[in-house]
Amino acid sequence: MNYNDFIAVLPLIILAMTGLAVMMWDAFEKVPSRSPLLLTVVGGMGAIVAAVANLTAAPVIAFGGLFFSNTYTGFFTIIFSAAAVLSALLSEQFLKEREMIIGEYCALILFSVCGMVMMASGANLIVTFLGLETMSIAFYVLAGIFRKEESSNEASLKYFLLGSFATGFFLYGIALVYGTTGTMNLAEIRTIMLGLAPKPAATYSSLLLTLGMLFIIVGLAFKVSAFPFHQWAPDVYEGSPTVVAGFMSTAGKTAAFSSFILLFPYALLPTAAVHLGSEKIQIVLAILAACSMLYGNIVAVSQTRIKRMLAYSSIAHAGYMLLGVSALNENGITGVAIYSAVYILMQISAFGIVSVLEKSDGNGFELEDYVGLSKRRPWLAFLLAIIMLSLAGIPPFAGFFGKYYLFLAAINAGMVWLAIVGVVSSIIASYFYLRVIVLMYFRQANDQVEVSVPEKINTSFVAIAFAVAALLVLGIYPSLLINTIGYLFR
Amino acid sequence: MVTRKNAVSSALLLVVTFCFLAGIYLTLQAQFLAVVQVAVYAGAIMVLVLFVIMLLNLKEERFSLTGNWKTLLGVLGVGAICAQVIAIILLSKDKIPQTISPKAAVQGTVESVGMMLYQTYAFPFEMASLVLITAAVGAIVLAKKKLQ
Amino acid sequence: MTSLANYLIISAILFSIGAAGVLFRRNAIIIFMCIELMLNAVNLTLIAFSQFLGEQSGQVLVFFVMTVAAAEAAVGLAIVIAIYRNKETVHIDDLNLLKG
Repeated sequence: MNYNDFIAVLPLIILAMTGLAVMMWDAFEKVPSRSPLLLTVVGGMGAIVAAVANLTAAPVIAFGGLFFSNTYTGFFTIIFSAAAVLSALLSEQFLKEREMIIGEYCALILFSVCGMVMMASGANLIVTFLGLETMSIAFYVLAGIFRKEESSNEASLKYFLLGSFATGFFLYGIALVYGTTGTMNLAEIRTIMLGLAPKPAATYSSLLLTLGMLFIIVGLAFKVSAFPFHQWAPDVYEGSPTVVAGFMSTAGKTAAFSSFILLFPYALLPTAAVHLGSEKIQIVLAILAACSMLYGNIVAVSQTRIKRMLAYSSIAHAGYMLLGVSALNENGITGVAIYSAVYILMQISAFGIVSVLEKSDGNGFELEDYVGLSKRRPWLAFLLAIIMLSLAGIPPFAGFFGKYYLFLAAINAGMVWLAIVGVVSSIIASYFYLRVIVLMYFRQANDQVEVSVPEKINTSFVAIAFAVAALLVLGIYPSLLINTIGYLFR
Repeated sequence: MVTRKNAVSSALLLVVTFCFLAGIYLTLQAQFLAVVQVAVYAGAIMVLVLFVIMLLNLKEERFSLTGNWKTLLGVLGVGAICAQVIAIILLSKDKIPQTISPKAAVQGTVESVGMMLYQTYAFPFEMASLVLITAAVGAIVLAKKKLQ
Repeated sequence: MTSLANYLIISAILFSIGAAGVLFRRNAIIIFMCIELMLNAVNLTLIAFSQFLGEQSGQVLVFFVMTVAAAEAAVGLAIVIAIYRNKETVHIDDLNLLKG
């Protein structure tokens, strides 16, 4: 343990300290104010700055093989912190309307980001597990933070029961992997898998190991809500507060993907692994990806409420990213990273717009409520239209390039069928995304008087506009992101 | 434990199960974890669960194993997976260590687990405090009667 | 001397009993207890492997699992209390606002 180790975990320390500071600040404040949100934004920015500064440092595994600090972890730290900053900005309006406790809300968001950073950087299964749990426990509470509303209560209970059930499977997988490889250290597991290490004291049993990997996949697939393990997702996202749902379905999912990549393409299934079952595992991952893409998009078509539609489409997005993981190659990893960044921008701002438009009595979620939005809130409708086009993956927008990289990775890995399934499901998806645009622009609301509401420049609007601007810039100059990531992963 | 209709008897049987597990840990020479098992699981967690059960004054639960085809299917599935896991364990019986390691007696003691926790794994140990504070804050947020 | 396979089989059986309980019980608190049983089964696997391999990190993970289980218990029971205040039930069939 030395000075450099602490530099490596500096973003994590900043996030945790800000979380504690928020709670202390809140405790000593006489009149409830919005300063916790401000502190959260400052803390998130601080973590981003620290992570950017770390990007140029030499890659290390801090604390004697417990914590990766390299450009990969730096990249994910930046996007998780950015998601926290965006969510904090979006929450301002909506916490004020509901007279909510702000301090604890902000602290929980920050703690959950700490968990995500641990997942993305855990070089040891113990750290990965602790990160997963920190994130999940914070999410269980955030989902139920509107204590007076029954739907929020139910979302939280459902998430809690299924989430800890999944944790059990994840943990059983870890136990079996540990038992067969004899170590918790991912770098050591990698050398064993590549056949470079002298075999551990235990002669290693590939059947038990495959079983362990399958259990880990089940556990993580629950967390990313991939197809057969998705049942909780629509209910939980619909029941929890809208901004929280946006945060959970983006940052939470990408965090699970960041550890998916560390566990599978990096440690357990590196290319040229000597392990016999690796091709079977790859097929399992590919089938999960294909089913999630098709199922999510097909069911989303029939939804009439926008939050459920976004929830089902988030299952499909998990499928796209799982496709990148199942390719098990460099392109796949790059694709997942690009798509994570783009997906966080798209989905958080989509949920942000829904939260701006929702009414405080809990209505305003029907797709019908969006009819004629272009007349009432022209700016918001414009931003939502761009987000929908990007989610659909229409070329000049950033979503397209994310998907392009993922499908390319699948083709490189020799899984052309998977790429075709991906393209077909994207075409299905474009139907319900474009439908929102049609409703907003080309349909007249019959009974309402069309009054254009002047847009108030509040923090939510700033956050959404910023995210959309980032989407546009990345869409027009994709090389910006792609070059950065290319440089990052080298 | 899973078949009792009354939640209290379920909980008490679970306490018994946890104590038996502590006994199994002792046969594996993991003294420290055996003690922690009794103190934390049987002692702390289950007392909390019992408190909540008593507090809520629950009615008897309606459930049946065969009533609903979905649950029946699920339970059969779990049975099949269990059989599969056991088969795999039996198949790889020869590839896993046959005898308990000579280091086992030493590494189960408070001293050596403590050394691991505070030296090699000091970083996750600190991070575990994050889990605990998250849980403490969360539990208060959700269960407190009146906020502000 | 009991062999490693015996410990692993006990643990697999306990895990399955817990998982089956989660699937067919309807009381949220009992489901939670079944999940605790699953975590304990995993702990047994970890300790058995750790002692037979002569490698200690398994026991460290067990310690953390216990910490996490305590944290989950606190949060889970708080959620149950919050839901009981609003609905006077913890029976998961009665919770049906979010379906469809």
